[in-house]
Amino acid sequence: MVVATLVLILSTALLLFYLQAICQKILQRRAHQEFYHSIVNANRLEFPFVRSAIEDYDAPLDYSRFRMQLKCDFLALTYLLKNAANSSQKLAKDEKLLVLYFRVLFFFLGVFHMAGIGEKVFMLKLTSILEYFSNVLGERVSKIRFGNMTASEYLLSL
Amino acid sequence: MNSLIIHGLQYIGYTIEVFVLAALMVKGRWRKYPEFTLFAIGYALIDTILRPIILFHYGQASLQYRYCYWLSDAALTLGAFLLIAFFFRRACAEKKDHWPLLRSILSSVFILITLISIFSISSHYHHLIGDFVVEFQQNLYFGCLVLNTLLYVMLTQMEKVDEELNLLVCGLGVQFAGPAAVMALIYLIGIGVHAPAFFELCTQACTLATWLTWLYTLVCKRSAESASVRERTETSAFAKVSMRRLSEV
Repeated sequence: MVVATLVLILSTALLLFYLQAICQKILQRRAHQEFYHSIVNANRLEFPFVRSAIEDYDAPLDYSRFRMQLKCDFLALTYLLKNAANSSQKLAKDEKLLVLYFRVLFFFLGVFHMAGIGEKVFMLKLTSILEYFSNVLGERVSKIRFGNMTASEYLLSL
Repeated sequence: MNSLIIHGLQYIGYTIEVFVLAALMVKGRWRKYPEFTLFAIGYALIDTILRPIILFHYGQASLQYRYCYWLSDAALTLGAFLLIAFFFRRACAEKKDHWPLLRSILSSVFILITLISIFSISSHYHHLIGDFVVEFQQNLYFGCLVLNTLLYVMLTQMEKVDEELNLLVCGLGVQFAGPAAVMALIYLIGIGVHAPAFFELCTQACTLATWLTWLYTLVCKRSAESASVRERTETSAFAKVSMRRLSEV
């Protein structure tokens, strides 16, 4: 009985840990890409400011504002991922997994906020997911531009 | 409804298994991971050929199918243990002085687990189905899960991180952790009417998650690499055209 209880608790914890690790590994794949700047500027996304506010300044969190900013960025990016330069108008499997991961983290952000612990870690993880989405989008848009007409070609054709 | 979901997951799982094998074979990836390829082939043969044949001949409620399922499951778990041992060897490639000690420990543990498994199964062979097999498999899965977690921790401590190996190990972790937790739950609450369906649903979901992770590791990471190479080529081609136009101006 004791062994089974122990196995149940540890296995469940490790299952969640491994699922989280898989999501983090997928995120790391695009961690060093710089495609996201153009998407952030074009769509006035706010997650880089949330991240720099958390990382660079050790000030208390404006929880409700940051939460709203992250939520709005998430909605904008998932809409763009489905509809911008995407003929299938569907999310890829890894993107679906990360959308689910974002929702789970977002839920736990609220729970941990009520408990008053670990909000910063959750917010940083949420920003890394948004950065991934922006990188995917940025890369996709840059490919389309190379496939049809470059910026210089467009200017030359005027 | 439940059986529809289970069958759906099962057939998606078969498809993913075929895709993983194709990904290993087509571009020669099996040369990099021969031990993983052998395990994947063995798993796919048992899961997509042996079990369905027995199921087709004897039916799901038959004793033959249950024996086939649980015995093949035990064999696959021992195979997965061996796979983890080979992954340990791969992880020790940088620090070769650690490997002899680790090899002797892993070999001893593997021989011990195999002997215990054979002895336990043979002594309970005539009343294998029931509490015994649930507890036995739960312990076997949990043992592999602990070993897999040690491997994962070791991989994260390495200076040069092998992302592919990390993802393969994470996939194995899901494969062990889910069924171990479900079996422990079934053992605690008892095998009721809905327990087999619940077990099958969770196991199929975890198997699917594992094979999807492996497929992602083998296909998506590679396509990302080739895409970045293609992108660099396109960029350099664009740069050459721009330079030519500038020189013409």
